[in-house]
Amino acid sequence: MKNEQVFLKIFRYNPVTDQIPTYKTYEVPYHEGLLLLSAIKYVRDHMDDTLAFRDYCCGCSWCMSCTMMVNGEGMRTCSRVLQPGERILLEPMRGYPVIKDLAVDFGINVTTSEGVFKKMEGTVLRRVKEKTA
Amino acid sequence: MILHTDILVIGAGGAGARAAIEAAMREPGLKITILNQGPIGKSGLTSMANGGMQWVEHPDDSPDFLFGDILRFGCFLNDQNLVEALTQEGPQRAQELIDWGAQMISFSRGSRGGSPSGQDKRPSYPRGHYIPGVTYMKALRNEMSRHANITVFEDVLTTRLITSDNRVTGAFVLSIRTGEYFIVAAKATLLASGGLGEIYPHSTNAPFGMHGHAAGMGYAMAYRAGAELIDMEMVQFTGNQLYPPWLLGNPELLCMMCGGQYINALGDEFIQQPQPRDVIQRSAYKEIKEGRGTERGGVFIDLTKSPLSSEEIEEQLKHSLAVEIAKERWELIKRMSVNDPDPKNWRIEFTPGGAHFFMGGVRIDEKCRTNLEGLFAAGEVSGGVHGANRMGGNAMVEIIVFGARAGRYAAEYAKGEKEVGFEDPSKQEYERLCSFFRDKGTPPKAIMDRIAAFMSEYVGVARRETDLKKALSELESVRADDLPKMRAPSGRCFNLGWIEAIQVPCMLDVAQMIIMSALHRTESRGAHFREDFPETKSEWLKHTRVIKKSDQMELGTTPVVITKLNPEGRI
Repeated sequence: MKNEQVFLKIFRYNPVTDQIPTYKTYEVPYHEGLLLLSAIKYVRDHMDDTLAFRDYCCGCSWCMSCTMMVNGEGMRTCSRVLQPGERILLEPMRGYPVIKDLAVDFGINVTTSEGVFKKMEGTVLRRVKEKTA
Repeated sequence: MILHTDILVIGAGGAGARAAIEAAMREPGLKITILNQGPIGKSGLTSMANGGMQWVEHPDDSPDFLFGDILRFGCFLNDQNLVEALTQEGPQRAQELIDWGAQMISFSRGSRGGSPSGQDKRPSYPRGHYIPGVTYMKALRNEMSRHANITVFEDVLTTRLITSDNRVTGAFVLSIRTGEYFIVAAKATLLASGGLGEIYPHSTNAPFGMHGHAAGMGYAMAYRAGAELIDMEMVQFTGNQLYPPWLLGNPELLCMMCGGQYINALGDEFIQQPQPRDVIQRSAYKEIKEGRGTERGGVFIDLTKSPLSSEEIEEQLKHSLAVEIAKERWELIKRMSVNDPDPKNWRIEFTPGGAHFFMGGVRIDEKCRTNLEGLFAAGEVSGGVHGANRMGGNAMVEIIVFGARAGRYAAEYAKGEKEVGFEDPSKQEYERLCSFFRDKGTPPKAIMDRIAAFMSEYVGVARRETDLKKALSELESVRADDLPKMRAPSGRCFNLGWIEAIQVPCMLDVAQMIIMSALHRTESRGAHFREDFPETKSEWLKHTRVIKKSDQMELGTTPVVITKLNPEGRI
């Protein structure tokens, strides 16, 4: 089990400096019970301190702050247990504007008499649910 | 950019969100601006709370009984005017929250009486309820979204309160998304920024070692602005789980919920529950110190003698972990748990000293006013409600009761006030924040770890003058040697390292407040246990007080507010 690794291929995009997103692969040392969110934190703490993601955890897999696309599927990274040698493709959660790397803007709900709207990146308003007549 | 508002709320956890709603409801003409370090409901401490709450409901129970219990648990260090508000308004505030859509889960063992946190020694009346933090925040977030006069800013970090002539007139705010700043000028400013668990290496405020937005920025900002802080030595510790790993949560809660026993490495039960948290922590500490601890330096919660069946235990554990979602993690816990999938055979190993809650904080009166004009405070950042030990189930009630009060009185205040001008500190403050960008130096995380290490080593469950002085000298060395070399990674957009760097000087200030207050209180009371002064002394029935005087931290004391119950000692 020693010297095992997991490979995280991570979506990188800095809106200030990058024209297009790039992907970068990081090798993270594996130990039994390594959680995907901890592995991402490991990358930031030990390999690349410019990596942006939502480094918050509620500890009970409830809040969805750490939701990302993992191998194309949206999931909570705090609840994803890694296997030795595993290759993971990590991208920001689909359907939300990317702030930087893996961090997205989840938006703020606004409720008016016309329905529920989602406010994202300050200006964009869109209806979450169609209003029933 | 200067944004003008009537009421500025710093922090959108339970207290801040509830305050914004109250102010918006009472005064629809006022403009309310609320700031949060992350997305609301996906950040902060309320979202991670397991949701144990207590309030009076039973027909034979009364707020007076609860009042007495809270004071005995708090070793009479509570401000009684605040406790009265808590006990009397709790049920109504909780009902509102449920009406707004918070999901109350009936607590199957709540009928034993007391809160689910296993602390009520007197199971006189059932008071325990359970509203998980996430549904709690969802209800508040939805309710907030209905008020057009509330403007929400997410992913922003408030780094400084702005004052003019001893009056708080707004705050300096950094946008985490862009790295740009703005000033919010406000008639009333309401601090609801939560606790400071991250100052300790093991904390229920920072699951998996991730951030929980509990670096104590609020305490430090209030202190720097000249606010009075009380009882900063009162740190509530809980168990830090050693084994099985990933079984997160408060061990005392698990013990109570699952009917476990506290046993030492020899297999003897060393304390019978239910007991207040500080008593459990001290007895576990004693067992380990006297050589009856495990190899990992812990003690056990033994579930083998639980009156519950395996299925019931599993249900309780899953419940606290939301395992219906986190199936993989549950499987992992089971696999890692001495290879025995039956939790009835488990011994959960823990060590005392995981930071859980801070009883101390900014001094408030019953209208949530502080000593600074224009500054209100509510929630964990405020002090005086819980005295020397918080009774389980009171934090989640405190935040809505005092959140609502702060919102109400801040609205009353803002309505009658005019905005005052102030000297714009933004250039100087932004320069300070940008000074952390360097080519070479120590990463902020390393300095945070160093602070956490000496806090845990010297300012933990048991304290001594010699240790506290060592902590103080370590702190000075960090301030003098490490801080000037601290390096934030480059780039201003969503730069987590920069945010950590901004928090480090605040953590140092807060650590200093805790250490100096702990040195000042030469007695043992509740969560503050001095090995060199083990007795509780009646002359120490007063708050320690920290205030900034000519750039120095000045220690003193201030009387406890007593309204109707005379101190009579511990239960």
